[in-house]
Amino acid sequence: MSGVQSVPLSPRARAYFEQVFKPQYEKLQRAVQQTPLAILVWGPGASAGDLYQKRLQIRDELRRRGHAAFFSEELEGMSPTTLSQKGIEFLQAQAADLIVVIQASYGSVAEVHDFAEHRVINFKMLIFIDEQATDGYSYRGALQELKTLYNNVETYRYPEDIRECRLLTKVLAKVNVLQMVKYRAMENAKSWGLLPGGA
Amino acid sequence: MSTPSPYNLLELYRQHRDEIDAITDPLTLFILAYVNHLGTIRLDEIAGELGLSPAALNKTLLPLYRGNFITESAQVLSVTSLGKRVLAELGFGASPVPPQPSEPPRQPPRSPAPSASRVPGMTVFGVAAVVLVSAILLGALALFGIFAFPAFPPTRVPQVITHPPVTLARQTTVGMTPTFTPTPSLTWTLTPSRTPTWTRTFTPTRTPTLDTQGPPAPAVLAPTGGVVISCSGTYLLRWSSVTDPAGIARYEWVLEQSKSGANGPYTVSDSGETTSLTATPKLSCGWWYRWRVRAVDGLGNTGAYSAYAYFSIGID
Repeated sequence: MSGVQSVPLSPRARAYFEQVFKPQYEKLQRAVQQTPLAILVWGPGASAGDLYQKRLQIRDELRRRGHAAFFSEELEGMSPTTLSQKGIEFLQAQAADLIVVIQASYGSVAEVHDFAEHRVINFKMLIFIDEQATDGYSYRGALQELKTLYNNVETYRYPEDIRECRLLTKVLAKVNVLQMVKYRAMENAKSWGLLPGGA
Repeated sequence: MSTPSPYNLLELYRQHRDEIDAITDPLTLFILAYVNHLGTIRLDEIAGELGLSPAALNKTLLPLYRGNFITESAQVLSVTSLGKRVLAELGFGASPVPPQPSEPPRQPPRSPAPSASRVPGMTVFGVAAVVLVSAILLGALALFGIFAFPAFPPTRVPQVITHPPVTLARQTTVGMTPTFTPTPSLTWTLTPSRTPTWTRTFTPTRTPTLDTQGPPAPAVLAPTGGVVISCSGTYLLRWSSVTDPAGIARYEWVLEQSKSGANGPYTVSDSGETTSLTATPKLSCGWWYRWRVRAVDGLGNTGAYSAYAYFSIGID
Protein backbone atom coordinates (compact mmCIF):
# COMPACT_ATOMS: atom_id res chain seq x y z
CA MET A 1 0.00 0.00 0.00
CA SER A 2 3.01 2.27 0.51
CA GLY A 3 3.13 2.81 -3.27
CA VAL A 4 -0.15 4.70 -3.10
CA GLN A 5 0.33 6.34 0.25
CA SER A 6 3.59 7.92 -0.84
CA VAL A 7 1.81 9.66 -3.71
CA PRO A 8 0.32 13.11 -3.00
CA LEU A 9 -3.26 12.38 -4.03
CA SER A 10 -5.75 15.09 -4.87
CA PRO A 11 -8.70 15.45 -2.44
CA ARG A 12 -10.97 13.58 -4.86
CA ALA A 13 -8.51 10.73 -5.36
CA ARG A 14 -7.76 10.66 -1.62
CA ALA A 15 -11.45 10.27 -0.83
CA TYR A 16 -11.75 7.35 -3.26
CA PHE A 17 -8.61 5.79 -1.86
CA GLU A 18 -9.69 6.04 1.77
CA GLN A 19 -13.37 5.18 1.37
CA VAL A 20 -13.38 2.57 -1.38
CA PHE A 21 -9.99 1.35 -2.49
CA LYS A 22 -8.12 0.91 0.78
CA PRO A 23 -10.70 -1.21 2.62
CA GLN A 24 -11.18 -3.47 -0.39
CA TYR A 25 -7.48 -3.70 -1.11
CA GLU A 26 -6.71 -4.67 2.47
CA LYS A 27 -9.43 -7.29 2.34
CA LEU A 28 -7.96 -8.63 -0.89
CA GLN A 29 -4.45 -8.63 0.58
CA ARG A 30 -5.61 -10.63 3.58
CA ALA A 31 -7.26 -13.17 1.32
CA VAL A 32 -4.17 -13.45 -0.89
CA GLN A 33 -1.83 -13.73 2.06
CA GLN A 34 -3.89 -16.60 3.38
CA THR A 35 -3.64 -18.50 0.11
CA PRO A 36 -1.29 -21.35 0.95
CA LEU A 37 1.36 -22.80 -1.30
CA ALA A 38 2.93 -26.25 -1.26
CA ILE A 39 6.67 -25.65 -1.18
CA LEU A 40 9.59 -28.07 -1.17
CA VAL A 41 12.90 -26.87 0.22
CA TRP A 42 15.80 -28.85 -1.25
CA GLY A 43 19.33 -28.43 -0.07
CA PRO A 44 22.10 -29.68 2.18
CA GLY A 45 21.52 -31.75 5.29
CA ALA A 46 22.48 -31.20 8.91
CA SER A 47 26.22 -31.68 8.24
CA ALA A 48 26.25 -28.46 6.20
CA GLY A 49 26.09 -26.22 9.27
CA ASP A 50 24.83 -22.72 8.56
CA LEU A 51 23.50 -23.64 5.10
CA TYR A 52 21.32 -26.30 6.69
CA GLN A 53 20.25 -23.76 9.30
CA LYS A 54 19.26 -21.42 6.47
CA ARG A 55 17.28 -24.22 4.86
CA LEU A 56 15.51 -24.82 8.18
CA GLN A 57 14.87 -21.11 8.58
CA ILE A 58 13.31 -20.82 5.13
CA ARG A 59 11.07 -23.83 5.75
CA ASP A 60 9.99 -22.64 9.19
CA GLU A 61 9.30 -19.08 8.07
CA LEU A 62 7.19 -20.38 5.19
CA ARG A 63 5.28 -22.60 7.60
CA ARG A 64 4.81 -19.66 9.96
CA ARG A 65 3.17 -17.83 7.08
CA GLY A 66 0.77 -20.70 6.54
CA HIS A 67 2.42 -22.56 3.69
CA ALA A 68 2.93 -26.31 3.45
CA ALA A 69 6.72 -26.25 3.36
CA PHE A 70 8.67 -29.51 3.55
CA PHE A 71 12.01 -31.11 3.05
CA SER A 72 11.81 -34.08 0.71
CA GLU A 73 13.31 -36.29 3.39
CA GLU A 74 10.36 -35.51 5.66
CA LEU A 75 7.99 -37.08 3.14
CA GLU A 76 9.97 -40.23 2.45
CA GLY A 77 7.93 -42.40 4.76
CA MET A 78 4.74 -41.64 2.84
CA SER A 79 6.09 -42.60 -0.56
CA PRO A 80 5.23 -45.88 -2.33
CA THR A 81 8.06 -48.33 -1.87
CA THR A 82 7.79 -49.45 -5.47
CA LEU A 83 9.04 -46.13 -6.78
CA SER A 84 12.65 -45.13 -7.15
CA GLN A 85 14.03 -42.18 -5.22
CA LYS A 86 13.99 -40.17 -8.42
CA GLY A 87 10.39 -41.15 -9.06
CA ILE A 88 9.34 -40.18 -5.56
CA GLU A 89 10.98 -36.80 -5.83
CA PHE A 90 9.41 -36.30 -9.23
CA LEU A 91 5.95 -36.86 -7.75
CA GLN A 92 6.68 -34.53 -4.87
CA ALA A 93 7.96 -31.88 -7.25
CA GLN A 94 4.93 -32.26 -9.45
CA ALA A 95 2.63 -31.67 -6.51
CA ALA A 96 4.49 -28.63 -5.26
CA ASP A 97 3.77 -25.05 -6.19
CA LEU A 98 7.37 -23.98 -5.69
CA ILE A 99 10.68 -25.72 -5.11
CA VAL A 100 13.37 -23.75 -3.36
CA VAL A 101 16.81 -25.23 -4.02
CA ILE A 102 19.92 -24.25 -2.11
CA GLN A 103 22.56 -25.53 -4.50
CA ALA A 104 25.28 -26.48 -2.09
CA SER A 105 25.23 -30.24 -1.86
CA TYR A 106 25.80 -33.09 -4.26
CA GLY A 107 22.25 -34.22 -3.63
CA SER A 108 20.60 -30.98 -4.60
CA VAL A 109 22.89 -30.58 -7.62
CA ALA A 110 21.81 -33.99 -8.79
CA GLU A 111 18.13 -33.25 -8.19
CA VAL A 112 18.30 -30.06 -10.22
CA HIS A 113 20.02 -31.87 -13.04
CA ASP A 114 17.46 -34.62 -12.90
CA PHE A 115 14.52 -32.27 -13.17
CA ALA A 116 15.92 -29.45 -15.26
CA GLU A 117 14.82 -31.39 -18.31
CA HIS A 118 11.21 -31.70 -17.13
CA ARG A 119 9.29 -28.65 -18.18
CA VAL A 120 6.53 -29.52 -15.75
CA ILE A 121 8.93 -28.98 -12.90
CA ASN A 122 11.75 -26.74 -13.99
CA PHE A 123 9.48 -23.70 -13.89
CA LYS A 124 8.82 -24.37 -10.24
CA MET A 125 12.37 -24.27 -9.08
CA LEU A 126 13.89 -21.21 -7.48
CA ILE A 127 17.56 -22.10 -7.35
CA PHE A 128 20.23 -20.45 -5.23
CA ILE A 129 23.82 -21.28 -6.11
CA ASP A 130 27.04 -20.17 -4.43
CA GLU A 131 28.69 -17.62 -6.70
CA GLN A 132 31.97 -19.47 -6.20
CA ALA A 133 30.44 -22.39 -8.08
CA THR A 134 29.23 -20.48 -11.11
CA ASP A 135 32.25 -21.49 -13.17
CA GLY A 136 31.47 -25.16 -12.68
CA TYR A 137 29.72 -27.56 -14.96
CA SER A 138 26.39 -27.31 -13.16
CA TYR A 139 26.06 -23.56 -13.57
CA ARG A 140 27.35 -23.44 -17.11
CA GLY A 141 25.06 -26.25 -18.08
CA ALA A 142 21.57 -26.78 -16.77
CA LEU A 143 21.43 -23.77 -14.50
CA GLN A 144 22.46 -21.32 -17.18
CA GLU A 145 19.74 -22.74 -19.37
CA LEU A 146 17.15 -22.34 -16.62
CA LYS A 147 18.31 -18.82 -15.90
CA THR A 148 17.97 -17.91 -19.53
CA LEU A 149 14.59 -19.53 -19.86
CA TYR A 150 12.90 -18.63 -16.61
CA ASN A 151 15.20 -16.29 -14.69
CA ASN A 152 14.84 -18.56 -11.67
CA VAL A 153 18.51 -18.98 -10.75
CA GLU A 154 20.04 -16.66 -8.19
CA THR A 155 23.64 -16.57 -7.02
CA TYR A 156 24.51 -15.92 -3.41
CA ARG A 157 27.70 -14.81 -1.72
CA TYR A 158 28.75 -17.05 1.13
CA PRO A 159 28.54 -16.35 4.02
CA GLU A 160 27.26 -12.75 3.81
CA ASP A 161 24.00 -13.50 1.99
CA ILE A 162 23.27 -16.40 4.31
CA ARG A 163 23.84 -14.25 7.36
CA GLU A 164 21.82 -11.30 6.08
CA CYS A 165 18.74 -13.30 5.09
CA ARG A 166 18.90 -12.29 1.42
CA LEU A 167 17.85 -15.79 0.37
CA LEU A 168 14.75 -15.68 2.53
CA THR A 169 13.83 -12.23 1.21
CA LYS A 170 14.02 -13.48 -2.38
CA VAL A 171 12.00 -16.57 -1.55
CA LEU A 172 9.28 -14.50 0.12
CA ALA A 173 9.11 -12.11 -2.84
CA LYS A 174 8.56 -15.07 -5.17
CA VAL A 175 6.02 -16.60 -2.80
CA ASN A 176 4.01 -13.36 -2.66
CA VAL A 177 3.66 -13.30 -6.43
CA LEU A 178 2.74 -16.97 -6.61
CA GLN A 179 0.15 -16.51 -3.90
CA MET A 180 -1.58 -13.92 -6.06
CA VAL A 181 -1.43 -16.29 -9.05
CA LYS A 182 -2.93 -19.13 -7.06
CA TYR A 183 -5.55 -16.92 -5.47
CA ARG A 184 -6.66 -15.73 -8.90
CA ALA A 185 -6.74 -19.29 -10.24
CA MET A 186 -8.78 -20.53 -7.32
CA GLU A 187 -11.16 -17.57 -7.48
CA ASN A 188 -11.76 -18.34 -11.14
CA ALA A 189 -12.41 -21.97 -10.31
CA LYS A 190 -14.89 -20.91 -7.63
CA SER A 191 -16.68 -18.49 -9.91
CA TRP A 192 -17.25 -21.35 -12.32
CA GLY A 193 -18.70 -23.47 -9.58
CA LEU A 194 -15.83 -25.94 -9.69
CA LEU A 195 -14.70 -25.17 -6.18
CA PRO A 196 -16.89 -24.38 -3.17
CA GLY A 197 -17.39 -20.73 -2.31
CA GLY A 198 -18.15 -19.41 -5.78
CA ALA A 199 -21.09 -17.27 -6.86
CA MET B 1 8.96 -32.54 -24.49
CA SER B 2 5.72 -32.52 -22.52
CA THR B 3 3.10 -29.84 -22.64
CA PRO B 4 3.28 -27.48 -19.68
CA SER B 5 0.67 -28.26 -17.08
CA PRO B 6 -1.92 -25.54 -16.53
CA TYR B 7 -1.47 -26.12 -12.83
CA ASN B 8 2.04 -24.79 -12.79
CA LEU B 9 1.83 -21.50 -10.96
CA LEU B 10 5.04 -20.21 -12.44
CA GLU B 11 3.80 -21.11 -15.89
CA LEU B 12 0.57 -19.30 -15.12
CA TYR B 13 2.56 -16.35 -13.88
CA ARG B 14 4.60 -16.32 -17.07
CA GLN B 15 1.45 -16.38 -19.15
CA HIS B 16 -0.32 -13.69 -17.13
CA ARG B 17 2.59 -11.66 -15.94
CA ASP B 18 1.11 -8.31 -16.96
CA GLU B 19 -2.10 -9.00 -15.13
CA ILE B 20 -0.31 -10.18 -11.99
CA ASP B 21 2.13 -7.28 -12.09
CA ALA B 22 -0.76 -4.88 -12.45
CA ILE B 23 -2.79 -6.24 -9.56
CA THR B 24 0.08 -6.89 -7.15
CA ASP B 25 1.40 -3.35 -7.34
CA PRO B 26 -0.90 -1.20 -5.17
CA LEU B 27 -0.37 2.01 -7.12
CA THR B 28 -1.04 0.36 -10.48
CA LEU B 29 -4.16 -1.33 -9.16
CA PHE B 30 -5.30 1.92 -7.59
CA ILE B 31 -4.95 3.76 -10.90
CA LEU B 32 -6.96 1.06 -12.67
CA ALA B 33 -9.70 1.16 -10.03
CA TYR B 34 -9.74 4.96 -9.94
CA VAL B 35 -10.01 5.34 -13.72
CA ASN B 36 -12.80 2.77 -13.65
CA HIS B 37 -14.50 4.73 -10.88
CA LEU B 38 -14.32 7.96 -12.88
CA GLY B 39 -15.19 6.42 -16.25
CA THR B 40 -12.68 8.43 -18.24
CA ILE B 41 -9.94 10.84 -17.31
CA ARG B 42 -7.34 12.77 -19.22
CA LEU B 43 -3.72 11.69 -18.84
CA ASP B 44 -2.58 15.10 -17.63
CA GLU B 45 -5.50 15.27 -15.22
CA ILE B 46 -4.72 11.97 -13.51
CA ALA B 47 -1.02 12.81 -13.44
CA GLY B 48 -1.97 15.98 -11.58
CA GLU B 49 -4.33 14.17 -9.23
CA LEU B 50 -1.65 11.64 -8.30
CA GLY B 51 1.21 14.12 -8.26
CA LEU B 52 3.17 11.98 -10.74
CA SER B 53 5.39 13.15 -13.54
CA PRO B 54 4.31 12.02 -17.03
CA ALA B 55 7.27 9.61 -17.11
CA ALA B 56 6.39 8.09 -13.73
CA LEU B 57 2.74 7.79 -14.71
CA ASN B 58 3.65 6.06 -17.98
CA LYS B 59 5.88 3.62 -16.12
CA THR B 60 3.04 2.75 -13.76
CA LEU B 61 0.56 2.44 -16.60
CA LEU B 62 2.80 0.16 -18.62
CA PRO B 63 1.53 -3.19 -17.24
CA LEU B 64 -2.00 -1.90 -17.60
CA TYR B 65 -1.42 -1.07 -21.26
CA ARG B 66 0.41 -4.36 -21.85
CA GLY B 67 -2.30 -6.38 -20.18
CA ASN B 68 -5.00 -4.56 -22.16
CA PHE B 69 -6.69 -3.39 -18.97
CA ILE B 70 -6.67 0.24 -19.89
CA THR B 71 -6.72 2.11 -23.18
CA GLU B 72 -5.77 5.59 -24.12
CA SER B 73 -7.34 7.54 -26.93
CA ALA B 74 -6.68 11.21 -27.61
CA GLN B 75 -4.94 11.46 -24.24
CA VAL B 76 -8.01 10.09 -22.46
CA LEU B 77 -7.80 6.91 -20.37
CA SER B 78 -10.58 4.40 -19.95
CA VAL B 79 -10.76 0.86 -18.59
CA THR B 80 -11.30 -1.99 -21.05
CA SER B 81 -13.89 -4.69 -20.57
CA LEU B 82 -11.09 -7.05 -19.51
CA GLY B 83 -9.94 -4.51 -16.93
CA LYS B 84 -13.49 -4.13 -15.64
CA ARG B 85 -13.83 -7.88 -15.31
CA VAL B 86 -10.56 -8.21 -13.40
CA LEU B 87 -11.56 -5.34 -11.12
CA ALA B 88 -14.93 -6.92 -10.46
CA GLU B 89 -13.26 -10.22 -9.60
CA LEU B 90 -10.97 -8.45 -7.18
CA GLY B 91 -13.89 -6.68 -5.54
CA PHE B 92 -13.38 -3.26 -7.11
CA GLY B 93 -16.67 -2.76 -8.88
CA ALA B 94 -17.74 0.26 -10.83
CA SER B 95 -19.93 1.53 -8.02
CA PRO B 96 -18.18 4.03 -5.76
CA VAL B 97 -20.29 2.91 -2.78
CA PRO B 98 -17.97 2.02 0.09
CA PRO B 99 -18.24 -1.47 1.50
CA GLN B 100 -20.77 -1.92 4.28
CA PRO B 101 -19.20 -2.30 7.70
CA SER B 102 -21.64 -5.10 8.56
CA GLU B 103 -20.51 -7.20 5.62
CA PRO B 104 -19.11 -10.49 6.91
CA PRO B 105 -15.42 -10.95 6.19
CA ARG B 106 -14.64 -12.95 3.11
CA GLN B 107 -13.32 -16.38 3.89
CA PRO B 108 -9.95 -16.76 2.27
CA PRO B 109 -9.48 -19.84 0.14
CA ARG B 110 -7.64 -22.52 1.97
CA SER B 111 -6.37 -25.88 0.97
CA PRO B 112 -6.05 -28.80 3.31
CA ALA B 113 -2.27 -29.02 3.17
CA PRO B 114 -1.35 -25.68 4.72
CA SER B 115 -4.10 -25.97 7.27
CA ALA B 116 -2.50 -29.13 8.38
CA SER B 117 0.85 -27.47 8.52
CA ARG B 118 -0.51 -25.03 11.05
CA VAL B 119 -1.68 -27.76 13.40
CA PRO B 120 0.99 -28.28 16.03
CA GLY B 121 1.94 -31.85 16.53
CA MET B 122 0.51 -33.11 13.26
CA THR B 123 2.62 -35.91 11.91
CA VAL B 124 4.67 -35.60 8.81
CA PHE B 125 2.69 -38.47 7.38
CA GLY B 126 -0.56 -36.60 7.82
CA VAL B 127 0.73 -33.45 6.25
CA ALA B 128 2.27 -35.32 3.40
CA ALA B 129 -1.01 -37.07 2.78
CA VAL B 130 -2.75 -33.73 2.64
CA VAL B 131 -0.19 -32.41 0.17
CA LEU B 132 -0.65 -35.43 -2.04
CA VAL B 133 -4.43 -35.19 -1.88
CA SER B 134 -4.17 -31.52 -2.69
CA ALA B 135 -1.95 -32.33 -5.62
CA ILE B 136 -4.40 -34.93 -6.91
CA LEU B 137 -7.28 -32.47 -6.56
CA LEU B 138 -5.41 -29.69 -8.25
CA GLY B 139 -4.18 -32.06 -10.92
CA ALA B 140 -7.73 -33.15 -11.58
CA LEU B 141 -8.82 -29.56 -11.81
CA ALA B 142 -5.94 -28.93 -14.13
CA LEU B 143 -7.27 -31.60 -16.48
CA PHE B 144 -10.41 -29.53 -16.84
CA GLY B 145 -8.28 -26.49 -17.47
CA ILE B 146 -9.88 -24.54 -14.69
CA PHE B 147 -6.65 -23.01 -13.49
CA ALA B 148 -5.97 -21.44 -16.81
CA PHE B 149 -7.11 -17.88 -16.62
CA PRO B 150 -10.46 -17.77 -18.32
CA ALA B 151 -10.42 -17.30 -22.04
CA PHE B 152 -14.19 -17.17 -21.85
CA PRO B 153 -14.88 -15.50 -18.58
CA PRO B 154 -18.14 -16.43 -16.90
CA THR B 155 -20.73 -13.72 -16.91
CA ARG B 156 -21.84 -12.51 -13.55
CA VAL B 157 -25.32 -11.04 -13.43
CA PRO B 158 -25.56 -8.37 -10.78
CA GLN B 159 -28.58 -8.74 -8.56
CA VAL B 160 -30.57 -5.60 -8.04
CA ILE B 161 -32.92 -5.62 -5.10
CA THR B 162 -35.75 -3.12 -5.36
CA HIS B 163 -38.05 -2.05 -2.60
CA PRO B 164 -41.42 -0.31 -2.96
CA PRO B 165 -41.38 3.35 -1.98
CA VAL B 166 -42.05 3.99 1.68
CA THR B 167 -44.02 7.07 2.83
CA LEU B 168 -43.11 8.32 6.25
CA ALA B 169 -45.86 10.02 8.30
CA ARG B 170 -45.01 13.47 9.47
CA GLN B 171 -44.32 13.55 13.17
CA THR B 172 -46.72 15.67 15.26
CA THR B 173 -45.71 17.34 18.47
CA VAL B 174 -48.26 16.96 21.30
CA GLY B 175 -48.23 19.28 24.32
CA MET B 176 -47.21 17.00 27.15
CA THR B 177 -45.14 17.50 30.22
CA PRO B 178 -43.21 14.40 31.16
CA THR B 179 -43.13 13.40 34.80
CA PHE B 180 -40.49 11.27 36.42
CA THR B 181 -41.15 9.03 39.41
CA PRO B 182 -39.26 8.97 41.67
CA THR B 183 -37.85 12.45 41.35
CA PRO B 184 -34.51 12.13 39.72
CA SER B 185 -31.54 13.36 41.61
CA LEU B 186 -28.19 14.27 40.40
CA THR B 187 -25.02 13.64 42.30
CA TRP B 188 -21.90 15.48 41.41
CA THR B 189 -18.54 14.01 42.10
CA LEU B 190 -15.85 16.53 41.65
CA THR B 191 -12.51 15.19 40.72
CA PRO B 192 -9.67 17.64 40.50
CA SER B 193 -8.22 17.55 37.09
CA ARG B 194 -5.02 19.17 38.09
CA THR B 195 -2.57 18.64 40.91
CA PRO B 196 -2.03 21.93 42.73
CA THR B 197 1.43 23.30 42.80
CA TRP B 198 2.62 25.42 45.68
CA THR B 199 3.85 28.85 44.93
CA ARG B 200 5.67 30.97 47.48
CA THR B 201 6.19 34.66 47.25
CA PHE B 202 9.17 36.16 48.99
CA THR B 203 8.95 39.77 50.09
CA PRO B 204 12.27 41.44 50.69
CA THR B 205 12.53 43.03 54.12
CA ARG B 206 14.98 45.62 53.00
CA THR B 207 14.97 47.84 50.05
CA PRO B 208 18.46 48.20 48.73
CA THR B 209 19.71 51.74 48.34
CA LEU B 210 22.05 52.77 45.64
CA ASP B 211 25.42 53.86 46.90
CA THR B 212 26.17 57.26 45.36
CA GLN B 213 28.24 58.60 48.20
CA GLY B 214 31.89 59.03 47.69
CA PRO B 215 34.45 58.25 50.42
CA PRO B 216 35.50 60.95 52.89
CA ALA B 217 38.42 63.24 52.12
CA PRO B 218 41.83 61.92 53.17
CA ALA B 219 44.00 64.05 55.45
CA VAL B 220 47.25 65.29 53.97
CA LEU B 221 50.26 64.31 56.14
CA ALA B 222 53.40 65.74 54.44
CA PRO B 223 54.68 68.02 53.17
CA THR B 224 52.36 70.62 54.63
CA GLY B 225 52.38 73.95 56.41
CA GLY B 226 54.55 75.86 53.88
CA VAL B 227 57.62 73.90 54.74
CA VAL B 228 60.71 74.73 52.62
CA ILE B 229 62.34 71.62 51.24
CA SER B 230 65.89 71.28 50.02
CA CYS B 231 66.29 71.21 46.27
CA SER B 232 68.42 68.09 46.39
CA GLY B 233 66.62 64.90 47.21
CA THR B 234 63.45 63.01 46.51
CA TYR B 235 60.16 63.81 48.18
CA LEU B 236 56.96 61.95 48.74
CA LEU B 237 53.43 63.25 49.11
CA ARG B 238 51.81 61.32 51.96
CA TRP B 239 48.24 61.21 53.17
CA SER B 240 46.06 59.16 55.52
CA SER B 241 43.81 56.30 54.49
CA VAL B 242 40.02 56.48 54.43
CA THR B 243 37.32 53.75 54.32
CA ASP B 244 34.12 53.26 52.33
CA PRO B 245 31.40 50.47 52.29
CA ALA B 246 32.25 49.82 48.65
CA GLY B 247 35.96 49.83 49.39
CA ILE B 248 38.61 52.25 48.16
CA ALA B 249 39.59 51.76 44.55
CA ARG B 250 42.30 54.45 44.31
CA TYR B 251 43.51 57.89 45.33
CA GLU B 252 43.82 60.83 42.95
CA TRP B 253 46.30 63.61 43.71
CA VAL B 254 46.97 66.97 42.06
CA LEU B 255 50.09 69.17 42.41
CA GLU B 256 50.04 72.85 41.45
CA GLN B 257 53.04 75.22 41.27
CA SER B 258 53.55 78.94 41.46
CA LYS B 259 56.57 81.15 40.72
CA SER B 260 55.12 84.26 42.33
CA GLY B 261 54.86 83.14 45.92
CA ALA B 262 52.72 81.14 48.28
CA ASN B 263 49.63 83.07 47.36
CA GLY B 264 49.80 82.09 43.75
CA PRO B 265 48.65 82.08 41.10
CA TYR B 266 49.05 78.28 40.85
CA THR B 267 48.89 76.08 37.78
CA VAL B 268 48.68 72.33 37.72
CA SER B 269 52.14 70.86 37.24
CA ASP B 270 51.60 67.20 38.01
CA SER B 271 48.87 64.70 38.95
CA GLY B 272 48.39 60.99 39.30
CA GLU B 273 46.39 58.02 40.54
CA THR B 274 47.58 55.41 42.98
CA THR B 275 46.30 52.75 45.31
CA SER B 276 49.02 53.50 47.88
CA LEU B 277 49.11 56.36 50.39
CA THR B 278 52.12 58.11 48.81
CA ALA B 279 53.07 59.67 45.48
CA THR B 280 56.33 60.88 43.96
CA PRO B 281 55.68 64.13 42.09
CA LYS B 282 57.91 66.05 39.67
CA LEU B 283 59.30 69.07 41.47
CA SER B 284 61.51 71.96 40.38
CA CYS B 285 63.85 74.05 42.56
CA GLY B 286 62.74 77.58 43.50
CA TRP B 287 58.98 77.01 43.07
CA TRP B 288 56.02 77.19 45.46
CA TYR B 289 53.72 74.23 45.49
CA ARG B 290 50.36 73.20 46.82
CA TRP B 291 48.69 69.78 46.50
CA ARG B 292 45.60 67.90 47.51
CA VAL B 293 44.24 64.35 47.30
CA ARG B 294 40.89 62.58 47.13
CA ALA B 295 39.68 58.95 47.25
CA VAL B 296 37.49 56.99 44.76
CA ASP B 297 35.39 54.04 46.05
CA GLY B 298 34.72 50.62 44.49
CA LEU B 299 31.55 51.88 42.75
CA GLY B 300 33.34 54.77 41.10
CA ASN B 301 32.02 57.42 43.50
CA THR B 302 34.53 60.21 43.92
CA GLY B 303 35.03 61.71 47.40
CA ALA B 304 35.84 65.27 48.32
CA TYR B 305 39.35 66.64 48.00
CA SER B 306 41.39 67.18 51.09
CA ALA B 307 42.39 70.72 52.02
CA TYR B 308 45.40 72.13 50.12
CA ALA B 309 48.79 71.53 51.67
CA TYR B 310 51.56 74.07 50.89
CA PHE B 311 55.34 73.73 50.58
CA SER B 312 58.17 75.19 48.52
CA ILE B 313 61.51 73.98 47.13
CA GLY B 314 64.54 76.00 47.93
CA ILE B 315 67.43 76.97 45.68
CA ASP B 316 70.47 75.32 47.16
